[in-house]
Amino acid sequence: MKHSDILHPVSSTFCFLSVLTVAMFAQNPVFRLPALLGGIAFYFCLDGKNGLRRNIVGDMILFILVAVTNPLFVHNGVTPLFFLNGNAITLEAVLCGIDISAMLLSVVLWFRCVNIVMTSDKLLYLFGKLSPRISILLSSALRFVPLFREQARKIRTAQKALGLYASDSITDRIRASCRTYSALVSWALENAVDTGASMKGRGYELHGRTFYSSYKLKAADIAVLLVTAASDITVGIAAANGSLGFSFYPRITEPKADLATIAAATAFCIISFLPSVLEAKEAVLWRYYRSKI
Amino acid sequence: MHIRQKSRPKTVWEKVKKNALFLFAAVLIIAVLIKGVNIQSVDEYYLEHIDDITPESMTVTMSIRCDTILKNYNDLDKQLRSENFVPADGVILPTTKYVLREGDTVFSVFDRAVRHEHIQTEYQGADANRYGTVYIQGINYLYEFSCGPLSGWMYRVNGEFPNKGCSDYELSDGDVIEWVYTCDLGHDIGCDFND
Repeated sequence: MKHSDILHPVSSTFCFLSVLTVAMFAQNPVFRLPALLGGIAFYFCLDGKNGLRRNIVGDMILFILVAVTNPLFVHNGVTPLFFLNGNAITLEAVLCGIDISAMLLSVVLWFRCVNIVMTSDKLLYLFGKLSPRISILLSSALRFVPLFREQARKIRTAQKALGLYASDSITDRIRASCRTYSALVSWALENAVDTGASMKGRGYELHGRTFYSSYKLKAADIAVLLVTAASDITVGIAAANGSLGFSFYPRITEPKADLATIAAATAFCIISFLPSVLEAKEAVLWRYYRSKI
Repeated sequence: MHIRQKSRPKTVWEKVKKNALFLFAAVLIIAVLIKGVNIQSVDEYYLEHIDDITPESMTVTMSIRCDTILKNYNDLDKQLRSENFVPADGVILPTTKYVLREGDTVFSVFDRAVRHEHIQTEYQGADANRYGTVYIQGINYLYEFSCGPLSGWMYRVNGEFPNKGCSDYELSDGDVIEWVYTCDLGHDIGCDFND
């Protein structure tokens, strides 16, 4: 049993929204490390070692690509390292590139967790009353990528079983992917129409339709909400105060160690590690109960 | 479980032949990269020595000023509000004489001068825009749009704003080049092409 399955959808959503907002929009690099490590820890709790291993190569490529691209196009900064075709490659641009890729990677990781935690029943519960149309759109959009991947695997296996594209050369592999992709797109279009039609056939959008949900706001859910809200307020105060202002160009702003910044960083650390701590607590509890059987 | 049938294992040459196209593409990209990339260390980039002025050499004078920023200081990006980036008198390069070489354009003299004076610049190369001429994006960390949405660098030769790019303007003996920063598309420095 995962803790995120027990946690009330409102608490989960609020926590995700708070972490993602700060991870995406805060310019200060003080938030990068907690966002990244918190994301890795939570993803590890949800998907295990295999999940991390499956994604690590792609993630590293993304990280390096973004980090390298920035200094190639931005030449601002007071510390030139060397000159490429007459324009400076600067230390500031390199650091800014690393900062951007860390931000991107942490957001990708957190969104992977959102995808695992926010199952379609939770989305329907959250948005079903508000607007059935939005909730079905959200739920099919979020499950689109995993579904697409699974179907691609099926088509590929089927084609291999037919004896097509069995060779190892790159040309053949690309042709195989093109063919799989074309089959996949027609399947996806048909599937989307099918889903819509079958939901309609079950009276999904009819007036007065009720939803069954077994979610109750418990004390633990309220505690998560309160902790997240407190952290949001702390970060918000620091941002309004102007303490979080930061720029890489032309000279890196000297890191400030005033009370507001430290408080905001600590608060953000707490909410970015809160989901994985709760998950770990649940795992320990589960093992303890099992040991007593 | 393997369904496909193999008459004989593939030789290395057959594998290479299939992938030859991709190998070729990769080699091409690498060759272009190596040929098009010129890496210089910081010391190589900054010229320690510049042509000496002799009695028979042709010369031009050049200056770089940003007085308009001082008048619009509130529009300037916060991180640039410092003596290091905007000098108190607005002079980044005082009027200085430089040797004019055969075929020199405004850009080539500018490039030699800033390398000699260790002034930071950034430009868009002539091959990177549709005008086919170099565009100076920033001098001394002051970039286009650093001081409001209508700001950027312009140049004057003998008091007039030439309506062409700086790498297309050929200089003659005794020309006076002034690089000036505008905060209002040239209106504040007496340029009227945008009217």
